[in-house]
Amino acid sequence: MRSKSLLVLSAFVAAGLAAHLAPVQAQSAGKITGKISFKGVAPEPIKIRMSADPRCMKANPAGAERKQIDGVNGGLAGVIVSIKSPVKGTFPAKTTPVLLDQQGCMYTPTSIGLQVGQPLLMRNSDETLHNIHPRPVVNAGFNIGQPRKGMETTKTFDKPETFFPMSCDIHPWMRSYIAVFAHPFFTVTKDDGTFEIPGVPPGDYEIEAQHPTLKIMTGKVVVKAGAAGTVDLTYTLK
Amino acid sequence: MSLLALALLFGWATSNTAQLAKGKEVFEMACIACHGGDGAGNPEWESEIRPVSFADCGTTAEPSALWRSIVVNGGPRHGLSEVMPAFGEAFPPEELTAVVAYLRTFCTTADRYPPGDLNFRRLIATGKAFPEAEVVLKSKIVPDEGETELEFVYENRLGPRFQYELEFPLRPKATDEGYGAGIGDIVVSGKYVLGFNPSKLQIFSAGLEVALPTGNEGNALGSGTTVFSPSFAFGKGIKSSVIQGKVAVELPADTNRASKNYRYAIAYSFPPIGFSRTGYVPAVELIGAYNPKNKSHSQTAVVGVSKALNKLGHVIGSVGMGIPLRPSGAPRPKEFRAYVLWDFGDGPLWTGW
Repeated sequence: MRSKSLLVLSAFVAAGLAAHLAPVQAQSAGKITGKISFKGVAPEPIKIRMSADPRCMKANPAGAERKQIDGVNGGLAGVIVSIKSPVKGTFPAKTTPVLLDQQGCMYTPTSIGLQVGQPLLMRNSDETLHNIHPRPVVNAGFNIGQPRKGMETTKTFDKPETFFPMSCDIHPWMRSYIAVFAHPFFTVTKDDGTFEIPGVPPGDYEIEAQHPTLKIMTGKVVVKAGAAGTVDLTYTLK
Repeated sequence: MSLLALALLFGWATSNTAQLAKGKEVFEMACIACHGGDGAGNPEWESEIRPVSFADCGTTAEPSALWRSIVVNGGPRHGLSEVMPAFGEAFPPEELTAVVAYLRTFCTTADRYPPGDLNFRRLIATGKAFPEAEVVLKSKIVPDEGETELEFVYENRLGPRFQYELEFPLRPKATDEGYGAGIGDIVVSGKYVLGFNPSKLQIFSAGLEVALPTGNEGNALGSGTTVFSPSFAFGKGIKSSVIQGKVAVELPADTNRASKNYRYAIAYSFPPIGFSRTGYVPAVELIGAYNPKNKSHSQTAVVGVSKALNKLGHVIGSVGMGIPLRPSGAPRPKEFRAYVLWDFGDGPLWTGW
């Protein structure tokens, strides 16, 4: 009888702990949606000179360019939107890797959001040498050479950090930006600037938008259980 | 014909054509984009950083282990450019060996140079056979006699095998026995590598030192005459250990002022603790001198350890203690010895930290 009571008590404790640690239950969670837009004239894309590597030239016979501002229908693509306010709870690191592909002598994607401890999978899909050289300030940096097509390397970052650049020193136009978060409530805007952050616990939040070449913007949003809180932000380009 | 015989016939750097072909393949895959087809840097590479020129034959003095480690671990591990990536396990060992061998051939006369694998760590007292481009500051302190000796050494290479050297000994303060401070006998010397065998890890050289009578004889700072000292030095690696030795005979121009002496030194360096280029290297040495005129024979055992002070390993420090062994019955004041060196052939003093 005594051992049965202990078993029941243990089950209650375990259930309570699990409720605290587990991600927010679907029925009680809300989400944040919105759009990041821009007004004004986007700067001209930068023409890329690939003469240092004939294999890159072959992969881009019509030439290549790097857009500083990208998006369609007034939306801004490649913006990382995240919850800036403290979020209650403990959130295990996402185990799904984020892929950085090196294809056609370009980095894809150019904006990467990672949770602390989440794997960053770097793949060389080209027949030429690339290196991946992030330059974080808070986290430990690295510089990996991938000389062969199909090579893959996985790394993680162990501290939250705002946007830092990551580039290929051999082909300096290849560049991405990484932001690392302590929680999973972040995403990257689509081509039309829209975004959705699911599974958000109800509450009042400040959100933050980070773009590689623009200033950080913030906004406020209220999330209710089972509903979407919306926030739209607009950059004005001069 | 064996590979060794081929290597000796055609040269250590260029004999293994199959390996060099593989090395070229790896180089063109992983290195050429920045280092260029001639090893001197790709002019099309859009970077302010200019890589080291492999065509500079001074690079032959670097050990293969360092080259391999730079490829595997990247430049920052050795205090070099952060732009040099770490290739990690991208290449199997045989491809690493091949690409390092290929890099050596950008110095078109590499076969005439002794390879850096024979550039064994400098000892406290025993001279080395490998020609160097470095400055060394040595000190010897004998507390029981209140004596401090300093010596500034400048060594530089001339061509593939020759090294010239200048030594400036200095006593910064008078000894307890009343000998005054001042400059000792300045030594000018040359050294030539007679032979080397990379596969057997051995190197031999011969030298001639000329000690000029610049030191005050009355203060025991000099011999009072010019002394010529022909010498022979060798180095031999046995796996990760090294035996080095040197013999010399001192021939004074004026035998009324100084005596003929035979000098010798033999040393055993233990395997490095840590990476060979930068780790700790403990060593024991036996140095001796024999004077045939009065049949006196002195010997000192030296126990020491050296360690690179920076990541590149071109600044090294060493400390040790000398314990006189002979003559028996004589006072045995302990000596404390140290040196710090900068191998300027590897780069400026401020790089590699």
